Amino acid sequence: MAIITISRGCFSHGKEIAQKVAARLNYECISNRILLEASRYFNVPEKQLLKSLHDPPSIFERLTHGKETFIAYIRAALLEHIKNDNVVYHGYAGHLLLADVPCVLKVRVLARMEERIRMVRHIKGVSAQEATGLIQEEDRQRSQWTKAIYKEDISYSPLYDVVVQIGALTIEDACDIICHAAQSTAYRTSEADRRHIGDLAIAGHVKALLQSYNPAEVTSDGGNVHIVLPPRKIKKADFLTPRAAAHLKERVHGDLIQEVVDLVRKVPDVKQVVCDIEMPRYS
Amino acid sequence: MTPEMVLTMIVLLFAVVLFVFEWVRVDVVGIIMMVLLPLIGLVSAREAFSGLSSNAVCSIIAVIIIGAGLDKTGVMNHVARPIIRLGGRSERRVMALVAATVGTISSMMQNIGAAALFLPAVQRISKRMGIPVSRILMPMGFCAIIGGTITLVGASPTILLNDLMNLGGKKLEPFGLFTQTPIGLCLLASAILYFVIMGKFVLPAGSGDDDKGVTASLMELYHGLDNIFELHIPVSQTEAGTLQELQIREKYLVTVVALHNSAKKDKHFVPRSTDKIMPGDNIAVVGREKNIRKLAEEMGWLVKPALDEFAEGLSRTNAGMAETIVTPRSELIGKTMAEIKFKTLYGVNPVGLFKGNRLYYGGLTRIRLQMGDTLLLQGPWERFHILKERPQPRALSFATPLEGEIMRPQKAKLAVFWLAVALTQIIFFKVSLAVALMSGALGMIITGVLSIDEAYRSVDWMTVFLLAGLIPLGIAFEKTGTAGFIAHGVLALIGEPSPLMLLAVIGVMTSFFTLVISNVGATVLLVPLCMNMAVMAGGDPRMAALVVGLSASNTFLLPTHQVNALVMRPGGYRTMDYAKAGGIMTILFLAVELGAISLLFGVR
Repeated sequence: MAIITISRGCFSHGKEIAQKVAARLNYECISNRILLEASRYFNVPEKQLLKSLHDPPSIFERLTHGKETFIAYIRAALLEHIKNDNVVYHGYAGHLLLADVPCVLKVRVLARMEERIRMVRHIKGVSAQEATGLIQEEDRQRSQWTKAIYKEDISYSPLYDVVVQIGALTIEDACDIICHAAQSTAYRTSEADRRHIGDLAIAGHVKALLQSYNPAEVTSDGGNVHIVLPPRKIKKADFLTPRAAAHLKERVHGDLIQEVVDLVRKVPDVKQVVCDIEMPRYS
Repeated sequence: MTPEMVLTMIVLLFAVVLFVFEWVRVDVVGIIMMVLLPLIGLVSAREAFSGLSSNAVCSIIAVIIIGAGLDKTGVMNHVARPIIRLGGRSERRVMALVAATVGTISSMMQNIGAAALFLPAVQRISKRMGIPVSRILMPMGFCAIIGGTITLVGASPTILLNDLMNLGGKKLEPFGLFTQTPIGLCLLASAILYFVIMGKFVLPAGSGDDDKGVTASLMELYHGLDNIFELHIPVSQTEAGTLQELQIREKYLVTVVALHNSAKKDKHFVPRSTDKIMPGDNIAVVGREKNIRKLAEEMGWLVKPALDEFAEGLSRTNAGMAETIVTPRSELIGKTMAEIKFKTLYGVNPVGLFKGNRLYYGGLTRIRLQMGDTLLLQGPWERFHILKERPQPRALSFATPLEGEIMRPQKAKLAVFWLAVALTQIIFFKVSLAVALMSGALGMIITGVLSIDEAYRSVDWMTVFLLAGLIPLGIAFEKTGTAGFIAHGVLALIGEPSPLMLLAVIGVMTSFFTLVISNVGATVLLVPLCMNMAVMAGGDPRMAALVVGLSASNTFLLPTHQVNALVMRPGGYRTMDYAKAGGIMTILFLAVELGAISLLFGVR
């Protein structure tokens, strides 16, 4: 009864290991299907979601936090999925997307360079030099992405519970290690954990819905959702008396709270919504 | 390029960065400029603070006070009702009339004031006639913004123009109050026409969210109340009796909140229990609809379909409800409302009493009040304000905000008179704008339209310091020759356009800058620059300044603009709606503005 994320370097047999582990434990094995679900639910092209997980953000995206929006959608879809437990996720950035989720076994699968080159040459039919270039470029992109979005170094071992390297260890050895770890009591999800994950799923869903409002914090406790939003800005464009200014602030504030509450109430399992928003500010 | 020019450009860049990233509020940027420029020697100390005594600042203070005076007397409230009535049942006609009126009002007042004034009325009428409110509110908001372009004092950017029009050390001929009026009217007409023709295609057909107000929200919360109804006592009836004798509250759990005596032709908005109800009279009652209908049926009275005699007196701007709590040291503790003659003493109607876990609608005047009891009161806002302002210890503390304020309708004619005096001085006697407007504002204060404290409280200090702080930046920009230098560079890039083409470039540039930085900031940066460009290209620098001032109001794309923010949720708009309807409006604004300048001022 566990949730396993398998983070893999490209061409490191990660997918194969994930599928074998899932088969052995009789767990659900998921990867990019999450993108399709997020794409359908939040009505964004799947291609854009995939790009947001793969390519490092451009300067414009860093300024507008465009990538964070898509990542919030993907996290919401992933949390929704792991609510039911017994899942092996081997899509992009599972260990980071689920960093705050309890009882998640975070596995990193690596392979020796010669093994990776061999695999690329076998799949793509390219020279050894081209294969090395391809692997290095892919590794660089993944490393940049992690740094830009999560400010973490992808090779930083404390991010993972288990790191296995294929080479000396065979794929079957790796599966044995992961299955053994997954069955230990540390990764067994209790009822309280399941409730907590349920709350994280609600909060993730709400946060994804509120991306255009730039939410600072969303928490859920048994379906009672607490949202902290930054104050809305009003563009000062003409003179107005302090009374009118205060009236406008109150009005915009009330409108924003109502808008957010109406939106969040539609999320399944939400019981109550409490919204903390400072009064709007003139910019 | 001189060292002063380099320094000016650094300061300009700094100001733009502050405007774009909004690390500090726009008025603080103004104050930073006011201090920074003399410190680094770009302007003298006298020039640095000259903005505070400028015509722009004095005019804006006076305009705000005049607007506050008109507001205080409810002059504009009288405009709203007939305009809405004139609109009849046609969506387009209501939209056009409301938009035109709001645009006209905002030519002399803060644009948000006019929009806020019509907002509840438009929501009400839309609901009643089944017109989508979204088809009226955005046109109304856009016209409120455009209304600011009708007169020089309608919006902050144009007020600034006369103070910024210095070229090569010489002051250019200032603009009059109505120089821009034909252009502003063309813009207003084109906006109305645009929405009449294209409204159905560019605006969503949403119903938006009702602005219920505190009174309606309270009535929803108190399940024993549905609405205020007006009842008519037929002339054929014999004398009904006093309120006490009729026991309306006790029998039907209904409160009489107003009484119209048809014989004396007077209205009581806090009727006493000893007041008689006579044939031909009208009463306003609040309670459950079924109880009110039962009361009418049993007494043989008629329920009117809507408020009629009391429509004005009980309108949201004049009267409403407030929830109050008996305070720990209240004089009411241990007494009943009947004992202390509550209505006479406080001048408001008790409608409900929350005591412990029980809610009383009948017999509440005979219940002994205790600390923490909650009283739902109804009455004229003026009375509520008096109660709220009483010295400590107050008998009642207010749990809900008061919607209305103390109005002085009796001073309405005086307010209009002083506005007329100010305008007459400007139009016929060519008195300076600031002096004429300030004399109008002073007249209002002296004749009691509003007190001097109210006048001070109405001033928008944010705009005052924004204008006053940025004027020295404009001075430095021109004085150091930086404006001329940059203008030369820009012209070298774009070649030698015709004067009209140059104005088009200026219009587009200003519209863009206004979206990114404050409109006043855009005006200060662009007026000196564009005037220099106009002179170099053989055009009229005053026209260039005017295009900048007008285009700074071309802000229809942003839902964060103060007027757009006001109508966004009531109209049920999304950001995309502003992009769609506002995008076309932005282009139309530029086209009409340039077309009008070309036709009226002969710029080719």
